[in-house]
Amino acid sequence: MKSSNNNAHDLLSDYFLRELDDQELEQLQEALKSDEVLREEFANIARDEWLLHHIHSDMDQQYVRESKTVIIKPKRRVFLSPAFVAIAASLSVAFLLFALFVNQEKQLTRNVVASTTTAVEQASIAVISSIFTLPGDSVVANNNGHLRNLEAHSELIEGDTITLPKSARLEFSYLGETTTVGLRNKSQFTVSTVNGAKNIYLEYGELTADVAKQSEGKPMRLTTVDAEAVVLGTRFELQAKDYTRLVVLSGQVGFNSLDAQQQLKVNAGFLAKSTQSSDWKTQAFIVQEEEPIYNHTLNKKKVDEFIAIDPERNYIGFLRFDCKELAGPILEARLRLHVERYVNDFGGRGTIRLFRVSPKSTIHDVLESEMVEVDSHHGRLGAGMDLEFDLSSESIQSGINTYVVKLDKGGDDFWFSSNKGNTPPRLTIKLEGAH
Amino acid sequence: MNQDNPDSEKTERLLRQFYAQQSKLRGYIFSATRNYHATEDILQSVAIVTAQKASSYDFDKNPAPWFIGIAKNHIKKWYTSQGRNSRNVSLDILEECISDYSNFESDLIANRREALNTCIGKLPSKQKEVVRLRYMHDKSCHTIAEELKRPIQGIYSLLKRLKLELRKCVEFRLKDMEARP
Repeated sequence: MKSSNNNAHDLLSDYFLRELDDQELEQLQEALKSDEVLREEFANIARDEWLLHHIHSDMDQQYVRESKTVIIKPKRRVFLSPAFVAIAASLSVAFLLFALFVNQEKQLTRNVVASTTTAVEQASIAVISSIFTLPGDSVVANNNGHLRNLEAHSELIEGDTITLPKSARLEFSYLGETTTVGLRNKSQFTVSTVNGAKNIYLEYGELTADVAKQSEGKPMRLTTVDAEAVVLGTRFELQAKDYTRLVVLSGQVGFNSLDAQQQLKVNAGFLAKSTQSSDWKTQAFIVQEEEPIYNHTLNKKKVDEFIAIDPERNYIGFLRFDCKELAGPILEARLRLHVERYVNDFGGRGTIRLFRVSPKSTIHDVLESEMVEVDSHHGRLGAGMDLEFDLSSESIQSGINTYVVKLDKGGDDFWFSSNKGNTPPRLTIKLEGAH
Repeated sequence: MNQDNPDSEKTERLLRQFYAQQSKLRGYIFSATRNYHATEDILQSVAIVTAQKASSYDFDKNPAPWFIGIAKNHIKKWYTSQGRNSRNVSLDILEECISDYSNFESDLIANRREALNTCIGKLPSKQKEVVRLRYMHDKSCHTIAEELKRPIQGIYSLLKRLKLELRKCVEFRLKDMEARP
């Protein structure tokens, strides 16, 4: 008994040093389930291990600050004192929750630009012009651990990291100029300035920007985990996923890998994408935009401005597009549906799927015909949001294309704008080829 | 921030509850990931989700299980991002340890941290080097063994022994601190 207990104690320490094999892990888990004292010791070992990392992480941060050579360095946040928070609240400092290290050092947070100043010392650099979230959601800015809710007209300050929940949209303008930046869906980004030049770090998500002419020598930089776009004045889209993709709509943007091995100039009408290989290329593109040509007969007209996905219509909606002759191979295609309010605010919920069906399908025969799923959206819907589906190149062809939007059983009804409504469905196709 | 905004008040209230639980969550997440930076990132993500969802949160409910649920989701996402097969103690078993993670509370940690710093300073230089490689440079025992040209079992034993000694040293110093007037 004693030796099995010793063995379990050994495994507690080993767990934080190496990968246990299946048998060891099973043995450790059984011991933890049944032995209260062992659980306490497990928590103590975890604390000791964490503290060793914590102390050395501080040393590492000091090293980084002293070396003054690192521009991009995720900093890490550590302690928040509940007592301090309570005092802050009692002083009615409305939403700012202050943080501090146990050793009274300033709290460090994930922040991409080397800046050792704190949030409260920073000036505003931009203001939010519009914001959309589903009811119950909010957009949060985190600045060195100080969290605050953002609304229209909220100011963005140096070092803010902003996180948008799914289905949210946000647009902000820099103070004193016309540069606007828009983000949507699940995105996270950090705003800062370095020697007067604007910086945005896009951790993930999608960004569009319309950048006014920037001062000579102070280009705006948009950085992702593997690339940066350097901008003096232009309009473009930037996507940070497993890769970074830049689409330039006007002007010219520098597109570089962070190790500076790849350096491209991307002109209007061209896009570029980061890859693992060493031959990043630009690609000419043209944009084709289509609105549906036909929907009321198919969608059993109820109100002109809307297409309803509800039980009366078998939870399906039809969309038919005439893409005519596609001028080149498809690089990207996206269908946007704008969710609308009709009488009540229909807050749909569930999984909405987009299917490609035979071009000639009608509401009478579609359920019997072959339906190929193209994309799906899972989660809530709400009036004002854009529901977007990505279409693969195989799901579009020249000529007529018919799609069905279908809500899984158990989901709530929802309505979206028809081509008679305020914000018609739009199929945007980016094709290879020059203007 | 508008002080009269009811959403802000809710956010503030829920975040206060989150911060009260933060230390226990830290222990829980760290035991699941065994990765210091991932732990801090996940905690931050939980705080952000808490703030984002506060306006619709039902305050009649105990938020602790909700915080754990959010943390769990983020831990699972982290496992996926790491491509790790789950050689970690199951999240359900770790949940049973939650009350034990009160040992991560900041007021308990502060003195311990100070004591540990002193104790590390007293280590012989070779041991200090192993600690530095492991905890400052986040190197695996395997890499440390290769760099120092020592058998990996030797590194495991050294680190286990070293941590026990550090624990003893820390406990001694904490008692000493308590005894001081």
